[in-house]
Amino acid sequence: MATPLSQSPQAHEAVLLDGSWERSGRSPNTAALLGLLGIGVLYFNGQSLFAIAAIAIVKLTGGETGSSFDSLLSSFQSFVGPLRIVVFITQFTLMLAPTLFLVSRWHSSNVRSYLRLTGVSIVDILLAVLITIAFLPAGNYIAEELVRQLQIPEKLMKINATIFTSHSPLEFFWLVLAVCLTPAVCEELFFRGYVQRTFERTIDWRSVVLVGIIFGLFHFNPLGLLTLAVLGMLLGYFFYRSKSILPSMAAHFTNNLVAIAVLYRTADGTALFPVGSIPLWLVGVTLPFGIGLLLLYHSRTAFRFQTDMLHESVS
Amino acid sequence: MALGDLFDRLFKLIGKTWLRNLTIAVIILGPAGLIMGASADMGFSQLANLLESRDHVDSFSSSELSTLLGFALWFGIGLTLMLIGSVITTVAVTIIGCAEMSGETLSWQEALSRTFHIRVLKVFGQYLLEGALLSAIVVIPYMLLIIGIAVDSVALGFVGGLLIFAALLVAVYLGISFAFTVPAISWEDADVIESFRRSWSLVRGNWWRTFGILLLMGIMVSFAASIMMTPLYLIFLWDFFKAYFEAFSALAGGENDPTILITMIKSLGFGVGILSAISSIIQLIITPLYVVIMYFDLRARKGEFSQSSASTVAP
Repeated sequence: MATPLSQSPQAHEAVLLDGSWERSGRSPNTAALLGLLGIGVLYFNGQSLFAIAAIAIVKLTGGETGSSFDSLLSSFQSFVGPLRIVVFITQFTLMLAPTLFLVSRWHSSNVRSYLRLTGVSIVDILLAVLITIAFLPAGNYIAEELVRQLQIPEKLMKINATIFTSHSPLEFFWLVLAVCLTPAVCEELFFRGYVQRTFERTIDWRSVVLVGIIFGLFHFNPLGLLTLAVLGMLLGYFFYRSKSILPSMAAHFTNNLVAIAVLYRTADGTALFPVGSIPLWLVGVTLPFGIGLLLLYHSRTAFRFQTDMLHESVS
Repeated sequence: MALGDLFDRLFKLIGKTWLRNLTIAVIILGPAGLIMGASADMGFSQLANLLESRDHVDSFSSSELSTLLGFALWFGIGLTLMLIGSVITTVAVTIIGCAEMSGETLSWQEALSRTFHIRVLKVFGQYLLEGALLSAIVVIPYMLLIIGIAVDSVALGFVGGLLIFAALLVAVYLGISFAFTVPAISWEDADVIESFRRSWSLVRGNWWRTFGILLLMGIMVSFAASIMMTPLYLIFLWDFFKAYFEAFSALAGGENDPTILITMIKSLGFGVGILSAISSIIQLIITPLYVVIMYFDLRARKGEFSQSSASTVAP
């Protein structure tokens, strides 16, 4: 028998739509698109400005510079610390805060209910985490294949990975906070809690596919688009079926945690978890396992899905 | 209308008209994009072949020069067709948008047939006149600055610099004031001079609001277009990026292989043409619609719609 994380009375409560957008009878789709584009513009432009300011400060305080490739790498390393802080701050201030503001102003005074910050069975959360882990090799295999096809130099990939690489337990802990926990909370509340939830009111299950693709596109990383879009759909599916944001948050956290754990380097520069390239046989084993778990998740969430659908449609 | 209502109507209008607008844009801009892409492809390939066959490029023979100029001419024709196509598409999309706002549904054939009337010539005239006016405002002080630098006159240069700044402000002011000339011509069948007068009178008293909303909508549309274009850049410029990373690897390894540059030049052509066509199509099926929304909003603010007809304004 599954143990509920919380038995909050709000968990199965119909959401009261008393915000200004709802009162004026405007379309939820417009709200979702407007929120998506508005917060997108704010977040990306704001983050760029913060990043430029952080780099300028590093430069002014005598950060390393150089023209050769290796000096470029080392000069980039001096920007990594401030850039992580920028990501951490902007996710909360330019993504989460406007999302909460929009929900409370436009949609519902009961923000927690609208965003589905509700308790769910621990087994559902664990299943979501396992499914994400099972899908990781396939996603990484596709991304690696694209990198191989384009012949992207290893040194360039190393620069790209610098921001997620840690060299001490303390740095690893900071990374867990900045690039695992923060996006798991902020991005999930924005993409799933607000955008998908709002689209879902009119286009139902199609919102999972739509927001999954948008999630992939929003990372401005064409090489990772396919992988990120599939991940986005997976996270959206957890949210859609469980009617709670916790499974998708846990899955997002796990996805990022695996990435930074793989990139962890010990004091002598060796990887703590040397995984190398993903072999095709591993994908062949983990992918069917993941699909099987996904079917299990589907059947496990059936009851909650049906009952909560009924409750939410009442509002 | 409140800002939320404007966006709500805009997204509904896009939803109702996007297929017809896309059809028009593809019919009009597709061939121009193909000509541009093919001519750029042939031109870049020719240039790459010339570079490949020689050690040094000091001069071209007359036949080589005429071949290159021939491709440049084709590219110019493609570009001109693209500009003409953009104007035609803008008028057609504006007509569809205005009709929809007035409660009338036009097919794309009807919209095109109305476009290829005297209206499109008027819009060309209006664009030329507005372009000449705005260019003159900016070019005159710019020339003063250049003359000031040429004759070594600090005073003249300073005055020129100040005037450029002032001219830019005037150009923005006039650009917003004349933002509704196209709907005035396309929907009201106004003459060129009359359209300037009409747009001016609509914006008068609402300049800051119009400026703010057009800027906001413009930023959001650009952001949405950039999100959609990112993966397309990778798809259409795949060979270019492959050569680019190859060059990167070679440079990182201390090698300098000029043949990679030739591959890069060869792989640029077609993708550039197609990408500019797709980018124009995305922008042109949305941009005229937010001008239409604002045009009807300003008309309503000026009291042009009676109480009884107000309900027909909403799409």
